Amino acid sequence: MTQVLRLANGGLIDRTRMLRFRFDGRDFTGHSGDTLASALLANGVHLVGRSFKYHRPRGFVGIGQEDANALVRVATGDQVEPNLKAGEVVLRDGLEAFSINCRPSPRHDLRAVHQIAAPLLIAGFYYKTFMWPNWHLFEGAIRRAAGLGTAPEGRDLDRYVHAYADCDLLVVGAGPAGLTAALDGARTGARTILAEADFAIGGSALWRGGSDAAEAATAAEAELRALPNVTILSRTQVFGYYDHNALAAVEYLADHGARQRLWKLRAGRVILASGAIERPLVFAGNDRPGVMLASAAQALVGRFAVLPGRRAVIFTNNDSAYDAAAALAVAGAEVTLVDSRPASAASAPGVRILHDRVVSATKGVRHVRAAIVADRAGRISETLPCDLIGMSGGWSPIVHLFSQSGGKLRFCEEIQGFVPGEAVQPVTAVGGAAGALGTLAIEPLWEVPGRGKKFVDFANDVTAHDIAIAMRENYVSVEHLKRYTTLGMGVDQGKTSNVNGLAIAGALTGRAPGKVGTTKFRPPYSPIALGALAGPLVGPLFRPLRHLPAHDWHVARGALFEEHGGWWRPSAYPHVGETLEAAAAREARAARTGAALFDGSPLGKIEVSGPDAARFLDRVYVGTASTLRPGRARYGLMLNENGVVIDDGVFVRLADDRYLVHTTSGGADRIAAMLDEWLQCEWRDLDVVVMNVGSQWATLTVSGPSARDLLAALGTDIDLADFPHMRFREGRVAGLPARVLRASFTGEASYEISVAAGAASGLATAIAAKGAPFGLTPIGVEAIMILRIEKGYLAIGVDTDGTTLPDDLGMAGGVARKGSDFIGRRSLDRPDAVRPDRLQLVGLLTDGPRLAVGAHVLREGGVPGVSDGHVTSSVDSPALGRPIALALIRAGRARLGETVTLYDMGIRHRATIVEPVFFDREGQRLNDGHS
Amino acid sequence: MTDTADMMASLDWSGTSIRVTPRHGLSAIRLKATKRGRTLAVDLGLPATGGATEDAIWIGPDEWLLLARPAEEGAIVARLAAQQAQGACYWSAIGDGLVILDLGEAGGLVSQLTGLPQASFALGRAARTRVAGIAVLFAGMSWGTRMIFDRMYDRHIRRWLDAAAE
Repeated sequence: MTQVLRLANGGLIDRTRMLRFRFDGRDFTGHSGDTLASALLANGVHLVGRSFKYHRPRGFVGIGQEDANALVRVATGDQVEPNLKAGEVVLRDGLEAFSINCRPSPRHDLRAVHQIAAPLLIAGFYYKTFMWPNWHLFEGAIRRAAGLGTAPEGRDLDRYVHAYADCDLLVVGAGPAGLTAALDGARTGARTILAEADFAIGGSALWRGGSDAAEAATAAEAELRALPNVTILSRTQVFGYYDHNALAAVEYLADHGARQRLWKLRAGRVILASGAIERPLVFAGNDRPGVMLASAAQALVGRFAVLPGRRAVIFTNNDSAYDAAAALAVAGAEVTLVDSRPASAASAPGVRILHDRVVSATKGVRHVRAAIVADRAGRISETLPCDLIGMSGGWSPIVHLFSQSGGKLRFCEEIQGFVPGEAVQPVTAVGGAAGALGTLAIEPLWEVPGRGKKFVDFANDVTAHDIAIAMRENYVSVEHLKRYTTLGMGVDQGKTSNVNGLAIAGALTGRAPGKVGTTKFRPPYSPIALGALAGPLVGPLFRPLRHLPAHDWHVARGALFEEHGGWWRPSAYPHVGETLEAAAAREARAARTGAALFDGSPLGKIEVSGPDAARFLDRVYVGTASTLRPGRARYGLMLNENGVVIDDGVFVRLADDRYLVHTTSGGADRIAAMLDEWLQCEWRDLDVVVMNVGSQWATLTVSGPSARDLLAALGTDIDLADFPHMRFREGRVAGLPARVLRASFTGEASYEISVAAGAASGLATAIAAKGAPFGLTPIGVEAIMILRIEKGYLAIGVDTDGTTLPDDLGMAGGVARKGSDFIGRRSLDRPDAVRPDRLQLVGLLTDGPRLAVGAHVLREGGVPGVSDGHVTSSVDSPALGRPIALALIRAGRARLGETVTLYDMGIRHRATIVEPVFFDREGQRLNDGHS
Repeated sequence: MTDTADMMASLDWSGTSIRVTPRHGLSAIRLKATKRGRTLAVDLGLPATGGATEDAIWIGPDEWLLLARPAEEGAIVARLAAQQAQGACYWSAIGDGLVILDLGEAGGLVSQLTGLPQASFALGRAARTRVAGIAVLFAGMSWGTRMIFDRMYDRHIRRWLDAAAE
């Protein structure tokens, strides 16, 4: 299709660069400098979609961020992005866009049948109509019928990046006022950032004020670009304003590399020069394609050299639309201006002007073809054939960011709109954003009398009638009005609808617009992609993963890795053709029969030193640290103030004034921070130093009946004959300086060998070489889970939750024995803490298949829904040859021997409650020959 | 996977690439003063709050990271041991557990990475912050900015840098 509405001259497009694009499968052309909106209009395409609820034909109300009517879906390769404003889509060669919310096309939409039921689909209809028997019965059908674009189902393949910047002055908006403000600031040497949502700098000067205004803007831009202290960010939408003058903006990048950049800006001062948005007038049929804002029509002529209609009617209640009418007339349109006011000092050469008249309705199906003109009482005076209606109900300063900053708004009678009032942050509004809109001589006209649908919010199909219903039903607060009708929600965020909506509500309830107030403005000002917020922190980067010091060694051994507590750890080392479960069972058997090597480097390691270290740890642990002799180790629980178990581990006394505290693998950073917090905030009298040394030590654990022989074979100066369980030694292992701890999470004799992180792979290689005669098997986390469950060793966060107390784990003995106070002790005396029916850790044996973790224990004779506890850990035990499980069961220890019913995903199982230690209950294997 | 230093050097940030020099062979020692070690900073010539030198970086109240060349490590450890014997401090050798990168003329990049003003990385200044969700230490040196982080996050940082560049 040729560009039938493109003017022969004028505009800021580059006519030498022709761009080809497709819309709804049809080929079009445009020019560099066009948006999708201007290019479609240049090609005579006014109908671009269907409305949200009624599926009415919709076209362009505006041609920029203010237009929530012409939403499109843009495809780039395999990527699809819905609900983009056509006026914000920069035209490029090969662009492919589609209409939304219509099937099969905007011209022939099957769901247009909704218009027949429109009288029933008023505000709140579904709140009242679909409540019986259950809203969810109807929800799916309603959601399918309503809505706009369809969210893409595939992964977002685009990349998004983040950047920070600080500056002395941030100017939002590069129109005439913004350019002036930026120049004023930059000339003083202030580090200045100028952010403009449009791809072109100049704002309204691009289409209003003639060549002088455009030249002034060009000159200002050139001067700013030449200054080293100025950064100009075009295509950058500032969408959020937060405390301490922090603002967020999204920059749309060129079509290569990252697609968008999220800016986090902090400014000494902010100048809001974001301009104002023209308001529609509310009259019957004001949503028909071909009805648009008068300023949009003027901009199409001035900036894009598009004449949106040849027979135009301009309908206004203020002087600003006279310029638009004149511009259309100069461009060759036949223009009639309908002014609701009795008279005006403004003029529009070549334009027929009707005073004291209104457009009360429109005619047309998929495009406007006539305006019905009436007097103020609603009496029809004439019908004006037309293909364009430009409307101007005044202007609304863009106050969203100012309001987000915490600033107060006030209603300005002179412009009949809200303007920035008192600021609470260093922010100033200038130009149109401050209400400096020239002489409007506006006379309020919030709703034109007449029958028919008069749309206030085009994006959400909210009419003046809907607002009247809300008022009748006493939703008189503007916040209630918004929620009841959806006025100002969605992609529009009230840009064109807010003031009209609240003024109509005010008129119906006898309140001036200023008394009605506005809804709360919240970020984002304009829709942004969720990907921009996430930035690069997606996929494997979503959560920082630590790699083991000997990672490459594990890779070479064929380890299957999974994330465990923020670490990328071997789950198992499956042989070819072996399943993960089979590998884990094989590895567990090896630990029971020979020797196993487990990389325990993630084990938390914190050194606690100082003359008060023992006193400090006595307060932190349930166990007593001060009575421990150097070179010895003890198991301890850590509680929070509520007495809840938050961590466990073995602590070692290195010297009189020095301890090595081991925490759970995932808890090291958290526990180190907690220890520091207690020292810095509560116990400042204690002279203690806490150092998290986890990253400097790699820990390789040799475990199994042959572990001691293997350690001897490695070569060590540590006396293994005098090295019983829960002891600690320092010496050399395989020629490396090492710390060795006799502690076990497998139930077998174990030696936890810690060496410098950089030596981890070397030690692993040495262990593997010397371990071959002992059948050494590297084992992963899955095997460790089997081994520890067989022994009944608990895993914090797996076998415990946010309510578990020491007694629930059968560990009340340590509490009773301890003479001194410790964190959480007092909470253990609460009535709830001593209830006999608390969930207690027990074992479960079943003759059936392995129980599912999370399976619930049913009360005897009960039905699913009443739980007596749940399975926390469950494995098939290679050592016992049967499934075993740990569970938290109500009054579990008093129910040993009882058979219970468990329920999981509709299936019931039977199991017997037993002690939670399934293997080597006496602990003989731990001692490795030592008593 | 390429070396982190190569990756950073090849990144294009707003049209600017940076020069990255990995500092291999430096040993790190973490040092914390006790309450009795109030004069430790003066005694050992350590930088004051928020300060950094080529050999020592302030990382928190009464806490420093010392960077030692192999030839100097023994002497430093001996001095620290003497101080520890007097109850003035505790220290822990990190060895090569940290990645140390020297970034040439990268104030703008580091500011963009961290959200901190460039002044935070001025000569003699230290800043602890987060990059890619992990703790990173920056110090302003005469040749640019020194960046230090836990070696166990090396792969994460590399992946993030790859994804975060334009």
